[in-house]
Amino acid sequence: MQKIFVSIVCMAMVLATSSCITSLQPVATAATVITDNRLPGKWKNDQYTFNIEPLSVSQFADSESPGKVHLSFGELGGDSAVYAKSYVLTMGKGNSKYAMVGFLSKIGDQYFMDIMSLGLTDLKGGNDNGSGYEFTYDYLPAFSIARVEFVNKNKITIKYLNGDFVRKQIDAGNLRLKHEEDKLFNTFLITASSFELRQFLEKYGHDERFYNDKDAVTFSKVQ
Amino acid sequence: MNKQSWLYHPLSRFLQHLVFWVLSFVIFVQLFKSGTKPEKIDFIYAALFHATIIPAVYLNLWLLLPRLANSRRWWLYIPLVAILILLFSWLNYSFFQDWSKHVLPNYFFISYFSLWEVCLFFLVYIGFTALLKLSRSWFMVNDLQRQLLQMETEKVQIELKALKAQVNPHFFFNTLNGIYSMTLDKDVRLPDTILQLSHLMRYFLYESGEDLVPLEKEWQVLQDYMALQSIRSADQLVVNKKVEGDILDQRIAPLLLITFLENAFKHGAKGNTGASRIDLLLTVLPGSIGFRLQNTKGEVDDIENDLYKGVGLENVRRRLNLLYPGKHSLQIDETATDFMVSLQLEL
Repeated sequence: MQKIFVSIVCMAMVLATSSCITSLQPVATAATVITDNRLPGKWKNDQYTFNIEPLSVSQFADSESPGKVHLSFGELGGDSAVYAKSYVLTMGKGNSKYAMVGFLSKIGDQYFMDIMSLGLTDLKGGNDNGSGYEFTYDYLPAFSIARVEFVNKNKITIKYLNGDFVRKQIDAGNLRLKHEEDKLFNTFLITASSFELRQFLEKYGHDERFYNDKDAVTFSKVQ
Repeated sequence: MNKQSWLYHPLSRFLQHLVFWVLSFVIFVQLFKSGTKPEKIDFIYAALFHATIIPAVYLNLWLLLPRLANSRRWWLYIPLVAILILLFSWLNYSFFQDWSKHVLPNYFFISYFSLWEVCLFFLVYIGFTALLKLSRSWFMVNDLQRQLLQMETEKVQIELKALKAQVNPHFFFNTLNGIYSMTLDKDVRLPDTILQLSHLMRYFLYESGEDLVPLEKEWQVLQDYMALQSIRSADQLVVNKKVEGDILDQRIAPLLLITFLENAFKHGAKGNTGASRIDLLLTVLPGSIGFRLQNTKGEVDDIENDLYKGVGLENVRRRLNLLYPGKHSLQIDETATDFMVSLQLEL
């Protein structure tokens, strides 16, 4: 029952964010990643409740200490300067957790978060590979990019970049950003560098055509 | 330059420039396309990028290079080029990173390069096009130099021909006068004299057109000349001539030595009431020819046309400078009784 619940939550998250951009590179780099004291805490809305905490103090830190869960970040594992300032976003029930890592950066007067899914973990031991709707560590790490708006210190709005719009503009020859497409599996991946992504958001970060208001979610801090 | 003048024709130059920019555009699109093949946005981006590069390039080519670099005012040229690069790089960067969203709101692109990298782009384009222009100028200068050299050579040839032509007339008139006298006297030497004159004229007309003639022939001409001059000088003239070395293998510019002999007869042997003497010594070595002539001075009863007076030695000096530049020495000495010429030629 618990597993079904988490699976439904994950599927809902996937469906809700299916129109978001998937980028091979994050916007944030070691030089531009920041922290914000307003983020850590428990957040909820009508549908979800999730926790945000710094990765370094979370249960997901890469550490030999007992009680910590070792996560392999693949090629990103060496970039300790980035991960020292990253956050873990977790939601779950019981012993199963759906986790994401987020890097916060500020471009102009806006905050953006690169969100990478860590998948589903079972603290009791081993990963629960589930039925296939859940993410596993075999997936290539990729990032969704969302704009984080601090409505006030207890309320944030997260707006994902509209991947459908970006893809449509690229296919129409109106938008120039490095990308790769796989027609067979209908996948679309932005391969622009962090520098280019940052330049792009610097110029178009305020253009509301790049956001899907339908997918915007607002959370209030519980504690 | 005439053969390649089509390269410098305005229409040809325009086409060359056009080809250059079209190539640049095509390469740019291919190198910097955002996907696996160029899309519409890639062409628009490349065109707009070139729209900022082209003015900078032509400002350098048409304004800065001709006015400053060509006059070697590098101290001014380099800073101005640096300012040009910075200014247009900033324009390029600002257009793509900011202004284009207002000008072209339905097209989305960014600078993709940092300001420093854009400066490098401009530096490469401006540097490369400047080198192309300078190399074209280098070819033009080469062509002009070649033309100039050709003209100089032709001028020298014309001058040499003119100088050679100055040598002959007076002598022939005198010899014909002498032959006329011989015909009146029914002189038995007349046939040989005419034959010698014929040899001389053939030499002057044909052989002297060569750049170099066998030294043997030039020496023979001297002897024929002396034989003809002796018609007028009678028995009072003593000629001593001597050759040291192998005369057969050397070559010399024609009609050089005869000028000195002509001068010797002009200033001494002709019309001299006392005994006169001409001493000739020709020294031939593998790498040099030496010619020494000494003659007694006497009264000259031959009225020489002012046009030719003093021309002889000046003539031969000029010819030596043209034919043996830096490879000859000519010494002319004069005493109360004698005139001495010493010529040394390095071969």
